[in-house]
Amino acid sequence: MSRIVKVAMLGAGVFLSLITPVKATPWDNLSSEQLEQQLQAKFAEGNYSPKGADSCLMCHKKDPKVMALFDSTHGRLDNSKSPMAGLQCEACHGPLGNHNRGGKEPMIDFGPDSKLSAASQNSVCLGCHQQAKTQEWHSSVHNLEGITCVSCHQIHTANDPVLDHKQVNEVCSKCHRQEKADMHKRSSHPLQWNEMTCIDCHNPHGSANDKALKRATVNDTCYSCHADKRGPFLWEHAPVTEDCTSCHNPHGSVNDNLLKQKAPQLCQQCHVDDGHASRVVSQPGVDAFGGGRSCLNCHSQIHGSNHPAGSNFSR
Amino acid sequence: MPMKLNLITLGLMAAAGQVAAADFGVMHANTSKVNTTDYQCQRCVNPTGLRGEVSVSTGWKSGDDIHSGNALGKEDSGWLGAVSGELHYRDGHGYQASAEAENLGLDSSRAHLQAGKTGVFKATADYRLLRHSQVTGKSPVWYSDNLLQPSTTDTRYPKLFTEREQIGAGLTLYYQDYSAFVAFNHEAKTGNKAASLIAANGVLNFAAPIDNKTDHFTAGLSANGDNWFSRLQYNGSFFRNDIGNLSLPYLDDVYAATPDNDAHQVSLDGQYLLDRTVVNGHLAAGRLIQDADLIQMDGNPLVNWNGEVDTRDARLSVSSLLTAKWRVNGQLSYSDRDNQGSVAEFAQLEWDNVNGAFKANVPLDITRKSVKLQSSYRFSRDVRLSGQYQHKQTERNYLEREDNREDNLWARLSLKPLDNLQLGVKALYESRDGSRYDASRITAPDENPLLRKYYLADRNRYGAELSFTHTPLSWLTLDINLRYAKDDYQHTELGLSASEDYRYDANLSLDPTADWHVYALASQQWINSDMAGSSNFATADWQGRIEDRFINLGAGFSYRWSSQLTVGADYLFANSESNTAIDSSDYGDYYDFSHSLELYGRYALSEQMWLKLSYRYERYYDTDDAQVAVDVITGLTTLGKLDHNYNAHLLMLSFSYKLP
Repeated sequence: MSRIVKVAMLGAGVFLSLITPVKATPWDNLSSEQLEQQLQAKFAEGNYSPKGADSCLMCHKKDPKVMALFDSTHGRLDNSKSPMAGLQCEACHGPLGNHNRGGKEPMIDFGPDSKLSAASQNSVCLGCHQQAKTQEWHSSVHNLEGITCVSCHQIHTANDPVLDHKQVNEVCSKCHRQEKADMHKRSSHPLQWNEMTCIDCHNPHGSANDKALKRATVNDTCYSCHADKRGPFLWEHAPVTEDCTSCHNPHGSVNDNLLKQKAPQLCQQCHVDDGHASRVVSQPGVDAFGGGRSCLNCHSQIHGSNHPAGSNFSR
Repeated sequence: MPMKLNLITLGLMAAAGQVAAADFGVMHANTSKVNTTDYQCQRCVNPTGLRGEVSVSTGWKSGDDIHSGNALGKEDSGWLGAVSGELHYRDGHGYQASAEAENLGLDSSRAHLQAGKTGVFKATADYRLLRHSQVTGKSPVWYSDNLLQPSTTDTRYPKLFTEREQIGAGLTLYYQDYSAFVAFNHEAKTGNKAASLIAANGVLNFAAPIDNKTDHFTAGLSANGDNWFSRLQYNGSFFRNDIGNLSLPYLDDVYAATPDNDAHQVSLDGQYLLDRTVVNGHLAAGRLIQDADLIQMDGNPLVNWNGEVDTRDARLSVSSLLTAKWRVNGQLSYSDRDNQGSVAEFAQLEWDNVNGAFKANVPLDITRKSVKLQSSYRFSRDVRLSGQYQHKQTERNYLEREDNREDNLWARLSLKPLDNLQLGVKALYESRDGSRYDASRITAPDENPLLRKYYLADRNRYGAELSFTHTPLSWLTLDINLRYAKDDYQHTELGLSASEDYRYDANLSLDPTADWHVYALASQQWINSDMAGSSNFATADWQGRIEDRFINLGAGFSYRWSSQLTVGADYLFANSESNTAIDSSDYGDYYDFSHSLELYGRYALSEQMWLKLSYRYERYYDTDDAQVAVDVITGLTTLGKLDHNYNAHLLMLSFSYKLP
C-alpha cells in the first residue's frame, strides 16, 4: 500500500472520528413526520396557556436569548401587530399544551436543528408577513430549496444582521461563496466594502423576474444606477440594448470594467466584417488596435451614440 | 381524547400519502379556549427610551495612489476623522425613531433617519456619498466649458473617479389594510471617465468630465385582505446631463453628449392565497423618452430625435404545496420593448459599400416570452429533489437572428446523510437555437457569413455543482463547493466557439471556545475560452485562446483576551490574471494582486465605553501590457500607463460610547 493511500486512509479515519451527534431536544426521538403530526394536532386543539408569556418565562427567563426578544420588533408590547400583543410566545411557538409539565411535549422550534420541515417553519412567519416584500416568496428558488426564514433572519435580537446594510452581504455570502470571492476580482461592484449590497439588485424573498432581480429585466436593474446608459440613443448598440450581461459580469471579472473579456477579443467575437475588425492583433500595446483602449480608442460611445454621424459609436 | 383522535386522523392521512402541509400561521390558530385580555405579562420587559452607540475615529493614512481610497476610505494621505453610530428610540406607546451614521467624514459615507408608529406611518430621510477611485492619468488635453484643449507643452494629471452624492426621503401612511407610499431620491454624480475620439492628427484618449443628476420618484398604494394583496405603483426616473457636446478648438461637436432621458413605469401587482396555493400577477407599462437636440450638421434632417421606447411586462406565477412534501411552481412571463423612435437617414463620415455615406438609425425591438416549471419533492427530512424546466423565446428585429429559443433544465439532489453533514449535487443543461442566422441583414452588411455572434449563436451549456457542508464538531464547520460549466457554440466557425469555467470554494470556520473564532477560506477559478477570426473575409485564419485565472485566499481570527480586551486579525489575498494567445503569440502581462491585512484590538474602558486601535495595510499591484505611455504609439495619444503599484497604511483609533 502506497504512502499516499495510507495517509488518505488515516485522514478519512480522523475525519469520520469527528462525526458526532449534534445537540438534542427532548423530542428528538420523534421522527420529522411524527413531530409534524403532533404539532399539527396540538395546533388544532388550541390549548394555549391562560397566562401567555408569563407561563413560558417561568422557565425560560434565564435564557438571555429568549429575553432578547423584547429588544426586537417581535417583542414589542406597544405594537398591536406584534406577536406579543396577541398570543405572545405561543403565536410563533404554538400552543403550550402540556409542554410546561416537564418540557417533554414538543413545541414549534426553528433553525437548522429543528426537525420541522422548512415549509412548516416558514408558515409561522408567513402567517403575518404577507406583504409586498414577501409576495413572491412562494415561487422563489430559496423556498423551493427549503431555505427557512431563520436561515437568514434572527428574531430574538435587537438588530437582525440581515437588516443591517453592513452585514447583509456577509449573511448572503454564507451560502453564496462564489459571489463573495468574486467581490475581490480585478473589477467588481463595491460590495466588499459594503458600499453596495446584494439586495440592491436582488430580492432574497423572490421575484417574478429572472435571477430574483428587483427590476423587470437585467437592463432595468443596471439603469437604476447607470441612468446615463439608459437612452434610448439615436444609434443603439444591439447587445447593450439586449442585455448588459452580454458583455459585463456584474459580480466581478478578472478584466477591467467588469468585462467578460477585454477588447479587442470581446469585440472580435461579434465583429469579423471587413478586415478592420477581424484583423490579427497579435500583441497589445503596439498599435491603436491593441494599445490604450483598443477598439474603444475610436468606438468610445459603445453604449450608444446621439451624434447624427455616430452609427459606429465613434463620436 | 381529541388529541388522540387527531393523531389517528393524521396517521391515516399520512398512510394514504395525503398529509396536508402544516400551516402554523397565527390566523389559523384555534383561539376558542384562550382569552388574551387576561394576559398580564408580568415577566415581560418593555425597554423604552434611547439606546445605541456612537463612535468617533481619527487616524492617519499613508499612500498617495487614489485607488487606495476604495479600501481605506480616503484617497489622500494624512490625518482623517470619521463619525459613526446608531441611536434608537422607543416611547412605549408604539412610536419609534432611529438615526444611523456610517463613516461621516470619509470618501464614502451614509446617514439614515427613520421615525414612525406601526400601523400609522413611517418616514425616512437618507444621505449617501459613494466614491469610486480608479487611477490618475496623464494627458496633454484638458477640458474647459465643453472644449477639449490640446497642448504640446503642458501635461495634466486627471483623476479618473466617480462620486455619487444622494439625498432621499420617503413617507408611508397606513390605515387599516391600506397603505400609501411616496419616495424621492436625488443623485448628483461627478468625476472623470476615460473616453476617446478621432481627432485630426490621430486618436485621442482623454478624461471626459462627468456632471449629471438623476431624480427617482416612487409613489403607490397597496391594499390587502386575509387572502390577497395588491399594489399599484409609479416609478419615474429623470436623468439630466450638465456636460454638453465636446468640441476641439478646430472642430465643433466631435463627441456627442450623453442625452437627457426620462423613464416612467406604472405597475400593478396582485397576490391571492387559496389554502396552500398562491397566485401572483404582475403587470407593468413603461415609457423611455429621449428628445435631446441633435448636433446640427450637413446630412442631419432632424433638429431633435423623437426617441421613445414603450415597455410592457406581464408575469403570472402559481405556487402550490400539493402535499406536505411536494411543491410545484409555474410561471408565464412576457416582456416587450417597442422602440417607437423616428427613423431618418443621416450622413456618416465613414463610407461603406452598401450604405454609401448615408445610414438610417435602427430602432431595436425585443420581445421575450418564457414559461417555467419548478418542482421540489422532500422524500424525507434528509433527502430533497428539486428541479426546473424553462423555455425562453426572444424575438427581435434588425439583427442577424430574429428569433432565439432557449431551453434550460436543472435538477438538484440535497442529502443530509448525517445530522452534521449536508451534500448537494446539481446538474444543468441548456440549449439555445433559433431562426436562420442571416449575416447579411441590414445592420451587418459586410459581416462574414461564417460569424455567429455569441449572444445569438446556437449554444449547448452543460454544468454540474457539488456542495459539501460538514459540522463534525459543534465548533467546527467545513464547506466546499465545486462548480463546472461548459459552453459549446457548436455551429460557430468564427467568433467565440467554446468556453469552460470551473472553480472551487472552500471555507473552514472554528469556534473552539467562546473566546476564539478562527476562519480560513480558499477559492480558485479557471475560465478558458476559444475563438477564431478571419482577417481576409473567408474562413478562419487565426485562433485565439483566453485563459482567465482567479485566486482568493483568506484567514483570520478574533480572540477575547480578557473581559476587557479583544484582539483579532484578518488577511485576504486576491489575484486575477488573464492570458491571451493569438495563434502562438502571447499577449504578455495582464494581472493584478492585492494583500489586505487588518490587525485590531478593542479595549473596554467600562461597560459603556471602549477604544479600538486598528492597523490596516493594503498592497495592490496591477499591470496591463496594452497600457502604454502617452505618445508611444504613433497616431494614438493615451492617458498614460494606467496601472497601480502601491503600499498603503491606515492607523485608526476609535472611541465608542454605548448609551446605558
